[in-house]
Amino acid sequence: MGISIVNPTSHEAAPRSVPRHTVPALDGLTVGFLCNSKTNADQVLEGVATALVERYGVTPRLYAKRVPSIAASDDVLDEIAADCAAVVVAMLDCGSCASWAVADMAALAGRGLPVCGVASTQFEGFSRQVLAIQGADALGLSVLAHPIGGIPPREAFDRVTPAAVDAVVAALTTEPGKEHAA
Amino acid sequence: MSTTDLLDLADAHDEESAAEQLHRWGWTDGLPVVVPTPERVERFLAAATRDADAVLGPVAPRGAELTLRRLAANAVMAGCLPEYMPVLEAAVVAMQQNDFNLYGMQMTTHPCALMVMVQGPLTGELAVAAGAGCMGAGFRANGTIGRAVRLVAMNIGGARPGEGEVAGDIDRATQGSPAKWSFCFAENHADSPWPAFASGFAWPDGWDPADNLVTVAAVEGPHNINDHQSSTGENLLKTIAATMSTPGANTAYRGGDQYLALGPEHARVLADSGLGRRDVQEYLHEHARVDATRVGPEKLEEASLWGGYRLRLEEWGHRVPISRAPEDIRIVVAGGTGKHSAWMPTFGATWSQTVRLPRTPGGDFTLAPLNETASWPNDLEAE
Repeated sequence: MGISIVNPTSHEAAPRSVPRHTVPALDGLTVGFLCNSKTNADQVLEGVATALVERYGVTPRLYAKRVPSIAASDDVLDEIAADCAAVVVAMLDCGSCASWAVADMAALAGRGLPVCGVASTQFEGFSRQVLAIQGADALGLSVLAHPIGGIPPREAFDRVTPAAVDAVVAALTTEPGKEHAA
Repeated sequence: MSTTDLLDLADAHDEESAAEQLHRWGWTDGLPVVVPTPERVERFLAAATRDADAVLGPVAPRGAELTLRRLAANAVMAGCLPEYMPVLEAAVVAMQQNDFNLYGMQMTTHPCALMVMVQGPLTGELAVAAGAGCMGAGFRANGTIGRAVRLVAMNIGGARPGEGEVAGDIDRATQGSPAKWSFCFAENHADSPWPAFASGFAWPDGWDPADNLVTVAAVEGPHNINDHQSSTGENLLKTIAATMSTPGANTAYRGGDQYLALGPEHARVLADSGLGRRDVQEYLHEHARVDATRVGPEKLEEASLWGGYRLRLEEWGHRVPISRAPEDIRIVVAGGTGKHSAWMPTFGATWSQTVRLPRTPGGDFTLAPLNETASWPNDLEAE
């Protein structure tokens, strides 16, 4: 005979499901870049944008929120959804900033956009957990070596390797369930 | 009671082994817990303001539904007395407000704790310490109320400390803080020269001295302000302002409200110099400034972008205010004899919430209005 307790935990959250949207290809599209103003997030996004312009001739549009630890405003998210065919969000490299960047990713995907987040290695697992909380675990991440803040801007730019760009492209163009076949 | 509320710990043959099971499952804060048996939980439910089957809404970041019964289970585990339940119910209401940003503060690398401040006649009835040592160890109500709030944040909110690699370890605090075990105290209104803290809010239906209130703030643990020498308010305020003028806190014009708990002796020095609470707030807003010339350019770049004040540094003489308005420096009186005060810097992306307990049985919990600054845009450069 054991001991009965009242369960002090709860996992009974309202179900959330954020679909992953994709485009067949990025050629010639307008791509948004949402910067959360973490140090060097702009450099990382510039690195990704430069590569996507070179590879696919995309038209980049930069957006920013000033406070990384709260949600992007609906106005900014609506503007991105209206103007862009896909969006890249950076930088997921600390706790509150990554958690709200993930929420922004889910909100953008909820507006029907293909979305990719850029995380640092030390925040990849965390970001995937928070994506799952948001019901957005189908969304993709590109992962760069930690840290991104506290290094020279040029170094942050250079951390956007061709493989990291490949991950962004895959997140935006590969349909769910086909990641490994791509 | 739903069937999922009850768990049978089949392998636990006594309370000691049951408690060990709770530790193994990661359902504790690491300290010994009282096993939340149905009998104990029922006694706590009977002392709450709401019905035993009440649903209290989701707790971030996991967003799991908190019920009154599970709140009671965590209160039992923390070592609370049943009569603390209304305070815990109010604290939950505070934490759930969007402007509190529980979602962000639970997952930040910042060491912010859940500071719980209790005010009103209930503090005496529950023996929530307001005097000597009130922010430290030695008081059951203070220790266990703060602890129960933390257990709810962990067990329902779903954030335990770690590096994000194990399920649920999404409290990313770099070091955390001892204040994350428990941080609860009461306003020492009896020894305050000023009106009660809660009387300063613009309550739509007025404030009554019989009101009981609970404030929750996402702040750092207390920073000491030691001044045994100053005999005038002007001199004492210099010490306080200088102590608060630090670049490493999230207070350099980033928003959010911070707390200054004046020791009664310090408060008396200020009051004897003819200063009211508002005078102190205005002085500190004007004089507690971070010297931007002593901050490295990289930190200043990001901090000023967040705060939106890059274009105002010249206007400010490169001295950055620690608040956006005087009223964002919240001032209470707490503690006992001695010439010390305590400053609690804010997490920044958060606004503290003050909740009034029901005035009558079955009544509602009422939220205090936020400062106008909570609605200010962050993009001040666009002004």
